[in-house]
Amino acid sequence: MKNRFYPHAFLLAALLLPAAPRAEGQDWSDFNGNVMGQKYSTASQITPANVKNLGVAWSLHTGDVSYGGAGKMPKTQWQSTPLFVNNTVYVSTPFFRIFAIEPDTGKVKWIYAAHTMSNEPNAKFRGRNRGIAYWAVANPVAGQHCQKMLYIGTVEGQLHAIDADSGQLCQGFGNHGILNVNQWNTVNPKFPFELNQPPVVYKDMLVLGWAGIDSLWQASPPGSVFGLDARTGTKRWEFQTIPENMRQKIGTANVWAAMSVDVANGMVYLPVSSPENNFYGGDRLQDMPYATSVTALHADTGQVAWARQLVHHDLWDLDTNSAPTLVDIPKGGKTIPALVQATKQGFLFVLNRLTGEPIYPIVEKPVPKSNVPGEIASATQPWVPTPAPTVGDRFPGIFKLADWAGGGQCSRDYASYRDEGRFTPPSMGGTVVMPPTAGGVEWGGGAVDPATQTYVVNSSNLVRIYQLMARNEFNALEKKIGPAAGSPNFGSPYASRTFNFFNKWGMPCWNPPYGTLSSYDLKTGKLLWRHPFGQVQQWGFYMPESWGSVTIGGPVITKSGLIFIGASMDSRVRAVDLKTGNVLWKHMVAAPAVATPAIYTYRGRQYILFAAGGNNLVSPRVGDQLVAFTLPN
Amino acid sequence: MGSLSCGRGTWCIVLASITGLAIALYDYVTPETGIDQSGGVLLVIVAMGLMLCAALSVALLGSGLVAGILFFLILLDIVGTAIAGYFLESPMLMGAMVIAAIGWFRCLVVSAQRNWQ
Repeated sequence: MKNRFYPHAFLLAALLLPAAPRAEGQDWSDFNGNVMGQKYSTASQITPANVKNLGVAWSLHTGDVSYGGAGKMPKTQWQSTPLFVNNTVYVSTPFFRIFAIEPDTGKVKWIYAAHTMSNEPNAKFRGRNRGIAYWAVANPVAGQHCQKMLYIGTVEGQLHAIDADSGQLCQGFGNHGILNVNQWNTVNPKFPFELNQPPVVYKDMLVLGWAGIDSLWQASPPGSVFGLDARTGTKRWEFQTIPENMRQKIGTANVWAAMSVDVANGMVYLPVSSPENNFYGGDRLQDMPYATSVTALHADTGQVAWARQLVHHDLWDLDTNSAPTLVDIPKGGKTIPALVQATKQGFLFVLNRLTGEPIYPIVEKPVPKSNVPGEIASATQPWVPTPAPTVGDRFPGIFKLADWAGGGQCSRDYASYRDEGRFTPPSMGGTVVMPPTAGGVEWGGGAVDPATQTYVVNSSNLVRIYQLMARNEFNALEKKIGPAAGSPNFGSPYASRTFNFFNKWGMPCWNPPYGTLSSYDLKTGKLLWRHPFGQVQQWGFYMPESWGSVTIGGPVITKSGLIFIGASMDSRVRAVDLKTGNVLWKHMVAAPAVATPAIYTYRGRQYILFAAGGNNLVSPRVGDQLVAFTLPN
Repeated sequence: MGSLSCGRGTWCIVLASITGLAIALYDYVTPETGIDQSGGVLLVIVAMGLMLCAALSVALLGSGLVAGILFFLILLDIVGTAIAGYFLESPMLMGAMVIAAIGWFRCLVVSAQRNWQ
């Protein structure tokens, strides 16, 4: 019998056999790993036992970095978590370019450049980007254009849609591939919508918020969120955060951070920021229930399902600033669909995500009154005793070393400021604020292991002084010292000045630690462990590990019991044992890796991917390095 | 003031300061060290330069008040640089300062022995 070749049989077999299986959860298809904001990977090749062997698989410099100093171009802030999907690593840069990269070699497949004026060194360019979104049709047909799409926003409110295979604009989206989101910026359009954060994907829709400029104009664009058709960019719905009768005089309360989605229940969750003026609310005494809240919308319609305000009449710029983490918690014989909303206050609000009701009690506590003429601070504020807040309720005490080095300056200054604990309102003489707008949990948010309901979050212990100034006083100061005078808040009776509570040498006046990493059991609300995290670096000198570091960017968790995180000032990326919080591995990268890392598995190998780009808030060091780590062969 | 002609001890300090200078220069220009372009490393570069000059001067002068003062300042330089190396997390710099310290003590012991005789 002759051997015969049957090509159609092979074809049939190829069609019947499933594609090479990829373990679920080993892509990184969203800014937060998945749309539930979990930052979790089922990858388990890298374990606590072998993580010490982790080495660089590949490293890439994008060239998209500004070190500041030249012209008007500021230092870049590369906060873009890469995606791994469609067998490709995608990452966007602060110059609004997208790199498509081979996941195992780091070789660039194509680059898309959003040719915007943002590429020019002008005043509007703010040199920051936080990533891209990915959407694909349910059953992509090979070879067909724009079945898989990437979205990148720009500083002028333009949303670009790009074919994920070719890097070409998708002509059917917006105007030849670019949607002018700024066309909907019609009330107090003092600045264009900055599309810094990528949209979140819900079915065939994109849900999009925007960022703006704080503390410049009280009457700035009011917060809005858009539901868009993923294929065409057509607006399906719009949600406004500020009551209609206030929109002409009060701006923002926008959604500038990532959102999360519960696809099964058709809900999208919005972390809503604070309204303008950030530090004086005498012109907005009316109730604004969505300001500084977590708000749930029905994703198909944009209608409000529920909202929970996390700070009443916010006077501290305590924007809700990270995507809520969605997780199911077994409790009392039931499984509760929950969300965890980390905050700048350091409170972790654990809520039923279908109703907004708290799973752990929220207490309304009396708080200090304002002594600023015209201001009426809220009499109470929401307080979350469990889980234990990541930041203490009181000023942690004067750091003696800094006080001594500054000749007693810290003690003297502290005595002159107002400090009555959490939620002490800003004052004319200066108020000690802890945690301030850059403190607590930043936009990286937390990560969760959905199997064990272990929640991990990094947090900063920062103290700032908030001071209000009468308009004429501010004008005189501004004439004298220029922009260092503070923020004008045009349209408000008060300008504001906020600054870190440092001595004259730049040393923090408050006791360390300056940053921590904490782990919680969401089933009980118990704190499992908390350790100082990262190291402060000043003039190159590393301070003791027990001091920790201010952090920006979040952690990710793997099924094998590891936490990966950059975030700290010292340009090191770390692997931490999920059980104990002990650092098991660390590696130097080009700049603080303030972007949350991504984890993926490709051709049987697990990779950890960090964008090391820096952020002025934690360290002057900036960079353009994308670096992937893996185990040796 | 007795003689400081301590031969190998001084050259040990010269060698350590050259090594320290090379390490600090490398650290200053290499981003992977995490301490590049930093004021701390710049301080070490200056300190190593001064140590090198001081050690050579001691070797040439051999004795006298100036040599004695320089010899004492070298000790301060060694201690200060070692502390800087600790906080810069640069073990190689600290290693170089250990060599410098060995040289300094050898110099001290040899000089003391000669002066005693």
